[in-house]
Amino acid sequence: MPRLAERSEGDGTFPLCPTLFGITSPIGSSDLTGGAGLGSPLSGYGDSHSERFCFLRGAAGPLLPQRSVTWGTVGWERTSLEVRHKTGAEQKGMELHEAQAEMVEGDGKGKGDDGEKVSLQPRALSICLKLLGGLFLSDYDKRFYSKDNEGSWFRSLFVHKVDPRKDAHSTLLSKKETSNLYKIQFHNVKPECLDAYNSLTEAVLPKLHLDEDYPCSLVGNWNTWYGEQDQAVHLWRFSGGYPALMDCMNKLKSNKEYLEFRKERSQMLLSRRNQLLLEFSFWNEPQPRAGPNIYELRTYKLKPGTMIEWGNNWARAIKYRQENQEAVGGFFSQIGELYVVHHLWAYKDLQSREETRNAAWRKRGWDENVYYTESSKKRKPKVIRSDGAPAEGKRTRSDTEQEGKYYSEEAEVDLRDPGRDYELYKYTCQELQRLMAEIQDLKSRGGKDAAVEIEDRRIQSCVHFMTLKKLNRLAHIRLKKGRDQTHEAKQKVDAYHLQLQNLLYEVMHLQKEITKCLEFKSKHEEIDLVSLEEFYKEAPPDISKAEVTMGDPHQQTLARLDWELEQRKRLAEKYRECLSNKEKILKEIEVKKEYLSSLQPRLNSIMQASLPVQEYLFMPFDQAHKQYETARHLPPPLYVLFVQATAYGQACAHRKSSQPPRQDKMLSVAIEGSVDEAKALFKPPEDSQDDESDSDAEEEQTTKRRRPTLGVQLDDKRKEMLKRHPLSVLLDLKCKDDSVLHLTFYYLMNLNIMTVKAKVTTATELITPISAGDLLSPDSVLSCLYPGDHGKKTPNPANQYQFDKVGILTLRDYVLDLGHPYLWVQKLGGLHFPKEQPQHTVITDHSLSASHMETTMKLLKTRVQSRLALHKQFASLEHGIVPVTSDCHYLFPAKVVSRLVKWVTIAHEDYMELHFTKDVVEAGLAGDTNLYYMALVERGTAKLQAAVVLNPGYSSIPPIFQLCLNWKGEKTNNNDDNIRAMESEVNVCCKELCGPRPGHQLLTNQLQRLCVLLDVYLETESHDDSVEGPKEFPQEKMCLRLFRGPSRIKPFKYNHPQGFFSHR
Amino acid sequence: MERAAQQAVPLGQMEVFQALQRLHMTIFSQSVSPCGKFLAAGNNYGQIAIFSLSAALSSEAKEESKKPMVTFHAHDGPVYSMVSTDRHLLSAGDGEVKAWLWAEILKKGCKELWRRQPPYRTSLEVPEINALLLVPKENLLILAGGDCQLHAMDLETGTFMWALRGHTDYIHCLALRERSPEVLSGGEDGAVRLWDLRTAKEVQTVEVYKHEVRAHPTFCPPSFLPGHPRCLHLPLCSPPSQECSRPHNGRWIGCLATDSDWMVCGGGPALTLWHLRSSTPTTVFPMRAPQKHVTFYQDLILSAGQGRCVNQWQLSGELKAQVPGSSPGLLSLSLNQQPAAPECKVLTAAGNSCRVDVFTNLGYRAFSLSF
Repeated sequence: MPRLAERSEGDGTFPLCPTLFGITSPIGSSDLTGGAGLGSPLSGYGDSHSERFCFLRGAAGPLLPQRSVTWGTVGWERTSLEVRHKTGAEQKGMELHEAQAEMVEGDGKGKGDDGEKVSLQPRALSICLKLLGGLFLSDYDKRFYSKDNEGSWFRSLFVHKVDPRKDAHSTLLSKKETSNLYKIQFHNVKPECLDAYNSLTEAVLPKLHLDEDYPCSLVGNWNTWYGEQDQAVHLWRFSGGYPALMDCMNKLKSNKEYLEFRKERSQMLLSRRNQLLLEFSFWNEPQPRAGPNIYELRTYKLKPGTMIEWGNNWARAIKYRQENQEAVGGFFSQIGELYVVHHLWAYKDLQSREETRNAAWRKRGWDENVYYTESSKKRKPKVIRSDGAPAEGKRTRSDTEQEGKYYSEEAEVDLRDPGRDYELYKYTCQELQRLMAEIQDLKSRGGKDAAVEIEDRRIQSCVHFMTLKKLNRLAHIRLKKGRDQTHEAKQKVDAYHLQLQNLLYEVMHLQKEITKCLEFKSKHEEIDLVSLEEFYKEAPPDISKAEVTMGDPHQQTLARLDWELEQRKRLAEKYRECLSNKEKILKEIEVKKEYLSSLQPRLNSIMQASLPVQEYLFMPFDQAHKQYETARHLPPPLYVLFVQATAYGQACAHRKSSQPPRQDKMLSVAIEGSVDEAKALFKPPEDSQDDESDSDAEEEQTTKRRRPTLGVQLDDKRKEMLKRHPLSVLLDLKCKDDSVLHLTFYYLMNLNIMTVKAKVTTATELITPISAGDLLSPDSVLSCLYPGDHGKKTPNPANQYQFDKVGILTLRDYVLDLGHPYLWVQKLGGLHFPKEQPQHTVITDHSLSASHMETTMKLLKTRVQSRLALHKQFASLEHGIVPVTSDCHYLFPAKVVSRLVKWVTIAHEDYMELHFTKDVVEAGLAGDTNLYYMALVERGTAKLQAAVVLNPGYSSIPPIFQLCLNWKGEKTNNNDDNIRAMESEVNVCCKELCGPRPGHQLLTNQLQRLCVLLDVYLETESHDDSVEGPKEFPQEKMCLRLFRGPSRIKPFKYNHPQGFFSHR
Repeated sequence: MERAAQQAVPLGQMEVFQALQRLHMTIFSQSVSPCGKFLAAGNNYGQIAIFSLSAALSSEAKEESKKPMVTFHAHDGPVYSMVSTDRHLLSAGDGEVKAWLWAEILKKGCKELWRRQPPYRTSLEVPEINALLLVPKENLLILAGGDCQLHAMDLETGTFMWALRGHTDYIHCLALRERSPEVLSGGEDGAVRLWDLRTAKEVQTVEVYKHEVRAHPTFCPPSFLPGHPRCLHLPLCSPPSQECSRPHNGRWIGCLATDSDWMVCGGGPALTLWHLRSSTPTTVFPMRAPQKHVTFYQDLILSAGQGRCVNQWQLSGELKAQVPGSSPGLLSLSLNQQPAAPECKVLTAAGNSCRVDVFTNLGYRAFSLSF
């Protein structure tokens, strides 16, 4: 499609895109140039913003006579407008306005009033308002014609804009309506029939044109060249307006030829369209002209109501386009598509068209007018000053000089300053007042001149009124505009607000969705998956896919879940297997159980049968079994004791059994007491009947108790507190000489301590010496088995508080009854009590018992043996015989003269009162747990008293001797160093006196030693020369020296094989 | 089985044994360190204990400070005698003399510096050493004891130079006459012999048990009255005639002390003050119990022996005071007169107990140090 630049003004007054749409050969012309179709018009066709120009090329010179016209249409679109031009237009508007004002003034002067004497001011104002109302009620399309030039002066106000000389024109834009009416026809012909159509129309239509009967004349026939192709355009003129049209139509209906023509024609057509047009008053009437020419039909679609403005502008602009006679005619649609303007131009050819148009652009004023038409088209609502009467006559093209006749007040509003309008209003009102006053003044004066004067004033005031009216309109327009703007803005705001609300809602919704997404918890998070390393280590690579999942936690989790599923499946499988296994095993167990249950009676019978055998073989399995049964009912400490003692006994038996059996059993353990009672103790609340009866009994008891005195009550409580467990453990410890230590262990339930009672039986009946009374008494035989363990105080510190409650001072008073609560007994029972510092809680502990069992048993045995040994020794000592055993003879010389004459028990208190025992008492070696004896050794007149402290741990702890010699005065360690030395010899050097291993002969040896010492002492005493007679004690002992050292100690040490005495 | 029993009651048995040992302990000898702050005491078990006098005498003394700082086993038999040189503690008892360094003695595990045994005649029994005497001028140590001889040992070389024989029984005690190099020795035979160190010969013999003090002193030799402050109160009039001898106690001389021409000795015979030049007893002190230690102190004579008391005598024979100690019998007195430690100037007494009594002045017993 060729594009032709319609105009190329670089600095952009209009960015134009003119397109040559099509050129058709003129219809019926001989030199008709056939044109190919050149496409369709732009979408702007039919749009109110678009305009369409016809491009014409006249093939023949005179249009009508030759009836051959060449048509063409060219359309372009105007898109935007430069701001610069707007400002320019504003200025122009102002100028126009001022010019108008002058004109009105001039008009007012030119026209006289009919001489009304009424006061003008109020009237004028009221009319002004009325007119304004009318103005606003009127449609935009409404046109005002000042048909009547006479009448009131008000009317004349409306027409003053129009040139007064053109008053005769009754139409605004067109030439008189009655004069000419044009009809334009567009026929779209089937392309193949175009020639036929041309020839057909050429044959028929000129006849109508030439026929005088028909008041119509054919202005031209055209085929489109550029534009809509295969189209024929016919322009008819009806001279005489609508009556002529109607007349013509009626006549044609009866014209047979024409009807046939139509019939024929209709077969060639695709569509038809026509419009009734009026002629613009300022355009030339189309005249036949010499050709050949091209014709350009420019068709504008205007915004409604802009027609008059259009006309005003073009009336001014057309003068610039008259030079080459190119303007053929200007039409606007009356019936048919409205607001359409057709301008028909004729050029020699396209080149000349170009040149002509460029020439027009160079003319000053053309561009402005083009601009105005443009700007009017831009604006939609238009108020058109339509009060200008169109110029009369078809030929008066000079009325294009009426500048400012048509302009848009709406546009003007934007251009004017409201402040200045106000000033103007004030000024006009003043002027009006002044003029009215003058008129009144003139009228009151009267006179001829006055009429002229008055007329003059009237015209002036009319002009002012016009101004007022104008201002009024402007004000209203402004108001309306303001409202519109406000409304518009409000709607915009509402729309935005709504949009905002929507957006906010959307945001909220999205946020909710987001939080929902974020809070989404997958089920897999609750699953405790295997750790990552384990997963990668154990999972097969097709699940773990380390290379994929290492970097991607999501994939990793998926893989781990897969693995989990896999494992769980496997485990489920295993579980099922295990279940079936279990079933199987259960069945097996059932079978075995049955077998076992059948075994029980048989075993019983065998057991029954074996009893006599057991008895016969001394293998008391059954008995032991029973004992163990009973042991179950023992309180924990006794049980511990029982178990440990049994174990120890068995262990010893085993040890012995490896050697030739000397004794059958060293340690035997038994349980005594009523098992039933013990059972009852353990489960009293089970038997409800018993319980009731018990409680009854208790109640009775308590009621009884309440009555008696407090003492009896306390007694009962004491008894309750000191109650023993019904079961006790009996321990028989056999010594080598067949003496047996019977130990009975009790458990005091409420005090949580254990006590023991001891009894010693010997194989042979002993002659009980007087002094040995306490030796084997149950009270003392076990005393101080461990140092300081008297067994007279309770080892449980908690007991003291219990005693306080019931008024027991110490346990000592009850020990005889209950047995002794020795510490070692507690330890054997696994009871550990804190001594000074609080340590452990009291729990029966096997390990404690076990650790003490062996040592304690050994100690017990030693104790019994030593006691028995002492017992024997005492028996001799009481008879004055020092029973030195044969294996100890080496310790002493063969001849010992001093004799033991006395061996008696003395009380602790008596011992304390002895004058020569002070040192021992002070040294703290004379505790009340010891046994005290007094021995007397005599030789001649010398009597040696020896006070003996016998520690319960005898033989490991030696007896302590304190001496007092009665010979030539009383001699003790205080006044005689040798007595002291003798004590030391007996006490300190006791180790060499122990004799063979058990050492039980120590006491005997010490006494024998004492006798020897006394011999030495007496024999080595220096003879006092002053005393008459021989020495009482001749020296029989062999001594190396008599005295030695500063203390002059005598030779008390006996050297065994040589038999002499020496110093230590 | 017995052994097991002993293991089971270690505490009780040990305690009893210790108590018995203490009960029968006798402290034979004492010696003050050259610095004057420490006291060494030797007992019948052969142990030597070192007490800190300064600690025990200080105002912040506790019970512990009255216990020995160190106790070590020095001899197999009793420690009968100890002396201190400038650096050494010399102890003797069972026939040997041992030397210990004072500087190291306070450390644990102190070893003897040397030991010497005098040349004894072979005997079944090793004779004991009852007395040690230092002769500072000659740098000699004189030992005397069971073999009835005085042995002189050169401290520098450690060799025994000579032996003085004369006593017929074992020697109890020694004393040095400071002016003339003469040594006195007292023995079981009842004689006090005076030996000249230069000639190594016996000079004089006093057999105390043979003498008696006449009721009326004939004269007071003018030679020993002037020039000696102690002679100012010399009694010119004595109580009726007194015999030195006490046959029931024996003849033995247990203690000796000299001061110029004066000698005091005691033992089996009564405690007697002698004038050496004239070999006459001047005063018999009225004390029944045999005395085991005697010494001059200023114008007093201090003596101790059987009985609890430390006796203070005037030269005239008057008993000035009897200050009781804690032991039933005393065997040694020690006066700490070392100028190095004036604050430790005390009298200590020890004997038939494990305690050493400390007298800060002569009036009373302040406290006891104890093994």
